[in-house]
Amino acid sequence: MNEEKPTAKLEDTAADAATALASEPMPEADTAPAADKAAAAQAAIAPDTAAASTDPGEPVTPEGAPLHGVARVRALGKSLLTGVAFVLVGLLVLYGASRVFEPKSNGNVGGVHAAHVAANGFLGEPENSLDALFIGDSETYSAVSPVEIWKAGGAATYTCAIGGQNLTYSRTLLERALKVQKPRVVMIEGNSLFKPFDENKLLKSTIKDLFPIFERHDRWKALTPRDFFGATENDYVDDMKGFRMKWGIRPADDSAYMEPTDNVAEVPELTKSVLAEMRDMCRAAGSELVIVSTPSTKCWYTSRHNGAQAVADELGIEFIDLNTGDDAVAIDWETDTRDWGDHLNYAGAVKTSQALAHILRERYGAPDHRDDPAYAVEWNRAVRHHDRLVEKGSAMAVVGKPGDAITIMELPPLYNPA
Amino acid sequence: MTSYFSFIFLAAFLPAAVAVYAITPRRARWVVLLVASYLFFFWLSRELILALWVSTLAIYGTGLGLGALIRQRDSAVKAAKSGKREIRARFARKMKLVMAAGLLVNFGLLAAFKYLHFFASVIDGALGLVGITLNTELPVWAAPIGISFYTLMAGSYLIDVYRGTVAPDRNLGRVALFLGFFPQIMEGPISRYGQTADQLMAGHPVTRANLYAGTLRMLWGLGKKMIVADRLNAFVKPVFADYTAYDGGIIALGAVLYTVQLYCDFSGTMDVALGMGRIFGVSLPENFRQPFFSRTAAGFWQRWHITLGTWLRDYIYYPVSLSKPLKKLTSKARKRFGNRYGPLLASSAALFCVWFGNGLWHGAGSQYIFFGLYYFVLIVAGSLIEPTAVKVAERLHISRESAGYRAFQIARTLAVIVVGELFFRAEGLDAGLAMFAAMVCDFNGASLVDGSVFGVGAAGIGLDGHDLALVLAWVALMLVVGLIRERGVSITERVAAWPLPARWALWYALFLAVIIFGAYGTAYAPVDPMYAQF
Amino acid sequence: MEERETILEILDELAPGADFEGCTTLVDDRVLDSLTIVALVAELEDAFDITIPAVEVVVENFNSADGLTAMVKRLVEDQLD
Repeated sequence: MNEEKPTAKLEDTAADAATALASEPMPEADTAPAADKAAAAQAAIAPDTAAASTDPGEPVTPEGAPLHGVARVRALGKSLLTGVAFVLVGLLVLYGASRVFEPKSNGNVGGVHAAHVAANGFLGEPENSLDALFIGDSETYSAVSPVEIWKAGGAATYTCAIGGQNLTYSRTLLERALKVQKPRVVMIEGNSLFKPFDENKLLKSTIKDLFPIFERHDRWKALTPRDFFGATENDYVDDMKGFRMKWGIRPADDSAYMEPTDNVAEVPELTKSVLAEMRDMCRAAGSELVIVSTPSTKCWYTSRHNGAQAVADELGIEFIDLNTGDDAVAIDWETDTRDWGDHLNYAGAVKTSQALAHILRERYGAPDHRDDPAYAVEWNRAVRHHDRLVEKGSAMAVVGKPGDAITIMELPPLYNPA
Repeated sequence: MTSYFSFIFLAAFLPAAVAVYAITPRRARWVVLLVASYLFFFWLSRELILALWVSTLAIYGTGLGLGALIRQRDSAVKAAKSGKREIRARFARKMKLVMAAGLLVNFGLLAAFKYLHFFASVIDGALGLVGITLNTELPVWAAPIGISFYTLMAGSYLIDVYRGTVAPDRNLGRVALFLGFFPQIMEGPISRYGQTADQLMAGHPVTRANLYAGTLRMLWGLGKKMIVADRLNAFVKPVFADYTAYDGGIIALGAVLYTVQLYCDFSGTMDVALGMGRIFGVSLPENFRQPFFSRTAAGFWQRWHITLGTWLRDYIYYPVSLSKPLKKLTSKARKRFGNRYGPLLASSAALFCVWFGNGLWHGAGSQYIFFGLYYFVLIVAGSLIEPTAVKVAERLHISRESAGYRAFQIARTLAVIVVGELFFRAEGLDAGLAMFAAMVCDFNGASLVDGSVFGVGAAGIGLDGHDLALVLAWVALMLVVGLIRERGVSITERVAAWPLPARWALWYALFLAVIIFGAYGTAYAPVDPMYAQF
Repeated sequence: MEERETILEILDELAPGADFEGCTTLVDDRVLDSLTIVALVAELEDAFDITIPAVEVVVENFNSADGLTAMVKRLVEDQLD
């Protein structure tokens, strides 16, 4: 915020209007002692840079004489302490602001994207009640329906996914989840491995985790007194358990689907290291991290299968491919996809979820809670809600041709607890 | 890292640079600055750093060549008994050639990177008029960052050496740092060799006062850019991209908001640049001086992008208007038309070069040249009308210094500015003309009043009531700050005298404001600093 | 001091009515504006058969009649054949 002398008089004669350029009418002769001139011309701007017998910034007595020895060290130390204090207070301010801006409920509060609400809905589930978590992106939330899994085998699961989710957010969600849940298995979407990743994202993500205000700052439009003084109450429970029920049929061309090849798709180094971190987090909580690839003709092909397998071997974790091999789900690409093979629709999700229910039970020993009164109320309610939506949706399904604009009818499963 | 506003620059690169600079012994600090500058340049433009190096070497070599010629000339003149004028003329010719060579390298690179396609299309168009079609395939090169800015600085160094204003520099490092200093490289300010070269080499220590003032200024700039400019982009972008869908009222609002956006973006970036300079103890020249308080279009250009204006004045206006042919013209014209209008002829010719240059510098497109000539016409007309205006005001007994008249002038100038920026931003000259026509002929205030303009969702255009309120609040704050500065008060000085808790509180307040109200995150599309494209 | 006389005459011609004898802030006070300076340079060059390079067009030289005189004298001497 530096400025020059008042200039009210330096305008508006017509002749100067003609030149249009002269703040003074002529250039100043800048000869050799330019630094002095520049410093003098812009008087009080950088007072510390004026030539002095001591190096400016060096500690001086009030009279201006340089300090030496112990006094000097003491003065420098004082500077350092002030600096440290400044930074600490600043961090405190950030922390305080973060506390205020964090939503005090995991529900549909102002300034939080609806997608994040669904993905974080597991916070409303009873503690340590979930047997498995599915973490991923839009592939995951289109393909994995915890309610279907419950119906097929009684396991209690949750889908933590937002569109285009990157691995750092997946890690954040996992961290949050493992604080309140002890699932047997955490399934991470194979698609996540092949997203481009750089240090920038990692750095940002770490800072966002430390200081949520960076994530939540938009909530300034919706702050309420509860944000300042209220406690956090995760009272929102997602009916669909993170699944997004999507209807509509746009058939996929699966002629080149999973064509054999020896290519191995590359996985960024940072991705591998974040995965390793997630694996360790899971193990520390008694879970197993598993890579699972949900069916898709657009996003999955054999080279990615090979790449994922390689990573899984390197990290010592399991890899389950629902696209091919023994675990392949019998997807009918004429009817089960809503956007020409990119994502599955409800029909595809049912098949996938049933397959997953089977895997969870057989391979990971997920129990059947259907007779357990602790689960009955909530999950039966969810099933009823779910079936109601299925009825509505089936009646509205639309068939389209390639080239159609995609009009998905998503029946809104979120409710606003206000 | 794409700009000064990227997270990794602010949180990692800059603090690291400052830390390394601070612990480096004084004599070597300029090396830290140079290395940091080249790292930054490389990070943004990769191998195009070669262009910067070529420019640097070219002016270094040319400068030394000119210096040698000057020495020879001076000794020849001293020794000669007669014919001094011829000696001077002979050397002047040689020096002009050498300088021209150096300028050609620099401006040639600029032309190649920026204007190749534009010139080609102009030539194609001209040839097409006479029925010749060339189908040349020209390569498309991305331009190195800041080439429009550092090329002007390079040119100013050469011309200053030629004129004897500045001694040619034997120190290649100093020349390199002068051109490449990273706070200036993206969007200026366009400084002169005499202003910054010595400061950069001095290795001033990082003092608490400078650190505070510098970062405070950076926060102010970040606020302008991230809170106002980036937020307004959500409205401005769709209106300019798809102007046929909107009526005159919305287009007018779009033009106004764009002007605010551009000011906040550019001056905000300048605040960041000057703040960074200050941290290193380097005082960079100001580029803005409350431009919206201007009373005339000419006055506006003394307050907006000041360093570009002074560059054009010193290296185009004066050389052109004081050149031999134009001086002759002035003498003749003065005899014909008197002292008022005589010099105007030569001055206008020089002004035309200036404004054409201004327009062309901004971009390789007809709307930029139109923009430059728009101001040329306004300014020449202004000076032609001036005597009449004075007489009229006298007749009507209107005081031209009264508050009312001043307000009228400011309002009039604001309108002129907004229209100019409309053309500047429009996606081509045709679009600009169409939008202007819509603004004038199809002005319908209803869409602004009934609130359909602002509102989230399909009806609204990217801004809701909260956003608008925030923008207005920040603009009001800028107005207050502007009024204070217009009175000549140095805010930096005043704040430096505050007690420590107040200083800290101000800093934290700005910091929090930027974090809370900044238009970043998942809900926003990132906006690169706007003048970096020039 | 014929140079000074000539200069004062030229100044009077270009900007009649102003006090050029004693004023030392011709530029700062906008008595001489950019247009007038351009004309002034042309006249001085004609009158004294000198070339005034752009680097001489600075505040110190143009702020007063004395400054102009000094500049003109210097240039005349330097450029004498």
